[in-house]
Amino acid sequence: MIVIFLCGLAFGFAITTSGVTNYDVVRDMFLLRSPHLYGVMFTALGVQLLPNFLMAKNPTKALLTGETIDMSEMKLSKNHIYGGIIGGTGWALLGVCPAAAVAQFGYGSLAAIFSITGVLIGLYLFSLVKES
Amino acid sequence: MIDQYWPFWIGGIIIGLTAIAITLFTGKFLGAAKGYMGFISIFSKHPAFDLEKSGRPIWWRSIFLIGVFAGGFAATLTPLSSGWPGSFEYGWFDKIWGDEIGVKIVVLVTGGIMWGYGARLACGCVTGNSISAMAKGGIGAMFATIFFMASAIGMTYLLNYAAGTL
Repeated sequence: MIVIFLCGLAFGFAITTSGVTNYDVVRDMFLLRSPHLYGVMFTALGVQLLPNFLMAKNPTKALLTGETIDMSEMKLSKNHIYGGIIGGTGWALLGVCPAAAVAQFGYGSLAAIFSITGVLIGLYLFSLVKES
Repeated sequence: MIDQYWPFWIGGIIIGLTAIAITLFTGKFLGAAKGYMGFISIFSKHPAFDLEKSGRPIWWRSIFLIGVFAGGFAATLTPLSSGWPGSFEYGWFDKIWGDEIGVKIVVLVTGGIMWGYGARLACGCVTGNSISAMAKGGIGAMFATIFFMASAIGMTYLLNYAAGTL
């Protein structure tokens, strides 16, 4: 449990110090004025390629749970696209993604309280809609 | 402004490594939206948030999010920060939308709802899809990422055009 907390800590610290949680930096990214955040994202992806490749080749057991790590992937569905469009609009409005809103709050940006509230409502709303 | 921040590759490497570490330890892939859902499950009796029934415990994802909060707080100790808590000021947002608090609440809560709903629909947010699932070659995650990006880029241009802040 402490390991997971520490991973979150490193993650939150890294996204804050790289500007992922800053509205202005994100705005520059979406107005295609700065390659900075694209660099962050592609580096994060690149780092994972080799470990993921190795885990896919050799079935690996998770250290905490002992279960074999499932490397299979979900198939593409229309919902990925609809969800992408709706979520992306939310991204433009908030300037942050859901994880970054939490780090933003930790960093002291109080506007994040509204963003986090919205995300919670949205996640819950989906379950209500799906139910009916 | 960006030069105040750490070089992109430092953040990128740490983010990538934490995602790998989470997978190695828990056998699951990182995602922030599910961490939020772990919190909802504390208060909601809705079946979608019933962790026992779903058979896929997500409490650890909430622990991760608490860590993310702590990480943001830890960053206030760097020279970047002006101390905790900050304010409701929100950079360019205030120039685009005006700095009235009521407008801010409406826009951010609405945007948050769209994010929450969209993330459920797309089976993940940016952390889940763009950082984690895409790195193992998920086609769905790749499309979600492309549409997150395209939609956010289009909307940001539109907003700044309408507000005259381009």
